Amino acid sequence: MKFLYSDEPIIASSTCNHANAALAVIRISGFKHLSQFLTFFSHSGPIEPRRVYYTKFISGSEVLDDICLTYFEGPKSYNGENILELSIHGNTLNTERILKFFIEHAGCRLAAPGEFTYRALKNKKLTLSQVEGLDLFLNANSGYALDQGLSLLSGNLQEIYSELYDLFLKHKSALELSIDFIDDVGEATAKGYFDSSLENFKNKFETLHRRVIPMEHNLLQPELVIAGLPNSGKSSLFNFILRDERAIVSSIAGTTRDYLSETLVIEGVKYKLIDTAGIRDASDVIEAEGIKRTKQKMQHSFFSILLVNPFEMREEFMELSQLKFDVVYFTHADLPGFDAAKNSVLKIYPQFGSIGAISLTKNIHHFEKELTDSINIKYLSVTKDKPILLDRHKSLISQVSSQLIIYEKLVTYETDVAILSSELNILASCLSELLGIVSPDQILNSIFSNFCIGK
Amino acid sequence: MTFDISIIGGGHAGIEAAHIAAQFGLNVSIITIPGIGLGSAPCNPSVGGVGKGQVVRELDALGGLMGILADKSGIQFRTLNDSKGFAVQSTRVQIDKDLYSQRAEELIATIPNITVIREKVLEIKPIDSVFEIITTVRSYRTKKVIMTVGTFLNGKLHTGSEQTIGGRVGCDSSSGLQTLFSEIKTRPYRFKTGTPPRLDKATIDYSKLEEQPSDSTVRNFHCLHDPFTRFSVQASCYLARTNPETMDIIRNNKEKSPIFNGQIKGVGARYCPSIEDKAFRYPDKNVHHVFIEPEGLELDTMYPSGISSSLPKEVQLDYVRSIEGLEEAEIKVYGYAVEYDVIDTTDLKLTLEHVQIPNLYFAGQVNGTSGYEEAAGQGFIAGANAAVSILGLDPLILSRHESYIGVMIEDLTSNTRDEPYRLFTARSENRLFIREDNSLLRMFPYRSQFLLNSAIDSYQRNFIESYEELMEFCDVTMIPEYSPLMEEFSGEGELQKLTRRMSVSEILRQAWLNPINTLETVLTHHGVTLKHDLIRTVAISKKYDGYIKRSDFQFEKLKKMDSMKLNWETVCGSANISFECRQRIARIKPETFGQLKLIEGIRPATLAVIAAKAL
Repeated sequence: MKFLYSDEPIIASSTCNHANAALAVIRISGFKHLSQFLTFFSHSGPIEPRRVYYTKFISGSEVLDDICLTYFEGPKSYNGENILELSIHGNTLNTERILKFFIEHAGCRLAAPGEFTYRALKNKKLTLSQVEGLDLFLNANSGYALDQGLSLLSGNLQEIYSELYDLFLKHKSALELSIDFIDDVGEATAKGYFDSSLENFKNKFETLHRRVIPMEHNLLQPELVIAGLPNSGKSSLFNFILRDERAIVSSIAGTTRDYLSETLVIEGVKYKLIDTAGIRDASDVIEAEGIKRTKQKMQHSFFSILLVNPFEMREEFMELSQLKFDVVYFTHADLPGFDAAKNSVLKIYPQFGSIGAISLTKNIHHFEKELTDSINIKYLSVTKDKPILLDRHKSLISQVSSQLIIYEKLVTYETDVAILSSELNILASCLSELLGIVSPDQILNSIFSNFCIGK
Repeated sequence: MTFDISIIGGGHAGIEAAHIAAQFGLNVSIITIPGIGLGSAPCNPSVGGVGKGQVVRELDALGGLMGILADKSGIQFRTLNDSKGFAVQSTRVQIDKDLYSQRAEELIATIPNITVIREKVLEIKPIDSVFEIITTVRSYRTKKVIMTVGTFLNGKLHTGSEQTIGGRVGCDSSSGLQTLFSEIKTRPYRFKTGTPPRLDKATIDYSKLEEQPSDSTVRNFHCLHDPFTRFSVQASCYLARTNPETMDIIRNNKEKSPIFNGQIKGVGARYCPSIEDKAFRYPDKNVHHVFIEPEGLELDTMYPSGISSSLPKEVQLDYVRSIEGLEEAEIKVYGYAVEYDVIDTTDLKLTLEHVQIPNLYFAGQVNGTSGYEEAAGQGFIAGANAAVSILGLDPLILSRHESYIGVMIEDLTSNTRDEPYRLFTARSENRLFIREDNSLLRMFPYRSQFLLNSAIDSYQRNFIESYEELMEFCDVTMIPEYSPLMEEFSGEGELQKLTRRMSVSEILRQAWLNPINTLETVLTHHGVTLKHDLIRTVAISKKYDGYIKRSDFQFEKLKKMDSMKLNWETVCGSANISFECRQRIARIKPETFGQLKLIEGIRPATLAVIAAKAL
């Protein structure tokens, strides 16, 4: 996608387009004069910016809808352009008809995804970080993500980056001082500036770096993965948690070919609950693919649950037992001989020392509480240090971190300051990307491709 | 009388311009104010320095004059940043001022197609596609004019409340640019520079100062001179220091300082501060270096570098005598500040030709730079371009990624400066490559484009050939494991043991080895004797190879962004960019994102917006 859009007025519905609702909001942005639209409204007096007018929406003599309109005059508007906002009745047919009307009669075109916000960026109403923050805010799956989105939107993180960049520049100038102005300042003073400025930068950076937690915890949409050998009861658990017959349940091992996912809300956080295919040495091609994907899913999961059916152990369990799980449960606890079966498994796999035993028919509510509590505790502990959620920021901060390690190592043994300075420039370019100064093509594309029409 | 090229001013820019233009066989004149020798040095008695030594060597490789003159008049040689890596090492030569100017006069006199005219210029006007230059004596016609007028445009000197008209002490000044050229706009402000009081050589107690003798291992500038043979007896410099008393004297006389009492309106350079600037800008710092440098072997004055001042005479004497070793010092010439007009260099092309007035060029301090080397570099560019333009050859434009001269010219023409411009190595993005040792390699492609055939041209061709051979030798020659050579190259540390077979190139990259000595050892081992200059260039090139590649990779990423074309008119038409930014953009008319980035006062946020828009 390329953002070489023409400057003509754009229009979109800013509310849900897929279902009927009481109201829908249509926004038109980037027109020269409000007067070009006035014939479509019954209102006859002047229209002042930022005031709501109740009026009829008319085409010739025909009344199409009763609406409220608000005019936001550029540059004091969301994206710096003239914006007209119409609250109309939210039948999807009505919304479509009005959109079509503006496209056919008023020289508007349908906005591309994120184009309103793109214009805000273009017009300096928002910085890159703010746009990212808006994206996060609008698509947040948890209160924490909502907060961080807002924090980005209000420029807080950007401020931290700026401060970091300032400290970097101080260090950079200390280094340059020791090359170009050493006669003026003297060796000892220059060394002092150099050391203290590096220390300050490192400290500030470490605080930021601590907020980048490993990639497998994708907190934007945390995933709960249920894994286990075939017929260990994964789909039953999945369905039970969701109170839904979503997964096809049968006692034939390998019924769940791929994985199924559904949204689950625990303490205000939206999780993606995933039921994986069983892991076993399958000759069936589709099954094999499913197993591969299970392992991948495991790698990126936020929380993983292993289910063990002690009556049906196979060799492949070895492979499973080496992965790291947050909780392990033995299933089929209601069947006779369960304890003996469980104990024989534990002899081979002592690492599953203290684990729960469940039956999907007994004790299930107690178990459910225990499970959701441990998920929530993990979530709270992970978000405690205000981790950074956006991948672009995370990967840039990690880049800065690895370059900083190279640089610090060089500082200890390299006496050639020109080399130090050259390595420092590499650090500078990671930092300026973080600030959004150097913006490679893909940044904008990746951001705006997430946006829905109307934002 | 008619000329192809006339140069107004015979300073470091002027003689460099004349010298290169004359190599093309054109008829050249230097018109200079009477009473001042060619290539005189009114401020510090030295040539080179950090970033500037590189310029002198670049000039020398291009066929310039400055390196030859500095060698011939050099009385103390030093390598600055000696311990900090080859890329930032720079040669500085203390020159005998009289000798330097004398050698310049002699050398210019041997060139038959340069006429030196010692008359004051009153007016220059375009007539039928040529210029008429009217002096106090007569008038001349010329195809091209190069203005190298230094600080003489409306020059005004300040020492305390005393103010005199002149471009420097004891000299006349020229009229303002408006009188010379009614069409040219000068900037609404002026620049200021200063010079310290000159001390009587015989009145200094050298036993209390730290002596800095000449370093015999420093190489001469000119490539055809033997690197270590000096043309003159050598002398020493001395290091003195200011103390709390010195700084208090200055601080107590704030109201008498023309810089601080409002008498001087011109803007001085932050990086070349007067002692008053130092006193008030760094109120906690009382110890500043003062280098006591000889102005010449026969001259009876010493130049105390670091205490330039425009304070009243009695205050100057006071603070000088508060410095240890200078208690009995007498001042021969008092320090002063000079204010002068500068032109807006964004009106110049990369050839230093004026955009609105074709065939008129500007070079040197009138362009707002400070330093003899910066002036000489510009003089060369203006002189060469005036000449090749007459002959219909390609213009000489040095890239900023290959030379400090290129850095300077691009900085000047892309940006309105609000203080005097001085080169230093931090101005270059490509410092690991723009070094003194490889100036010849970097400049050869440009020099050879002139199609001249002098002694330096054949020297350079031979050098390049041998360089390429030796570079290849390093790549293909392997040092076997467990060999005595390998053992010699292994260092003390655990990680410094060399245990496998390696090419010479690889060995030269090892951080603990001095690449020059190492390559020399290898060559001796192979029974090869080569010129030290050559070994040096190859060894250092190999040493930096990997780092240059890393930074090139980074640079390529940036360059992709920088080379992005943009339409400045559209950018300026955008209501979303601040008025101030639009003004700057409209003045500079950047064609690419890279040029836009160099504009001073463009904020990162603006860049991000424009970057986003251009995608």
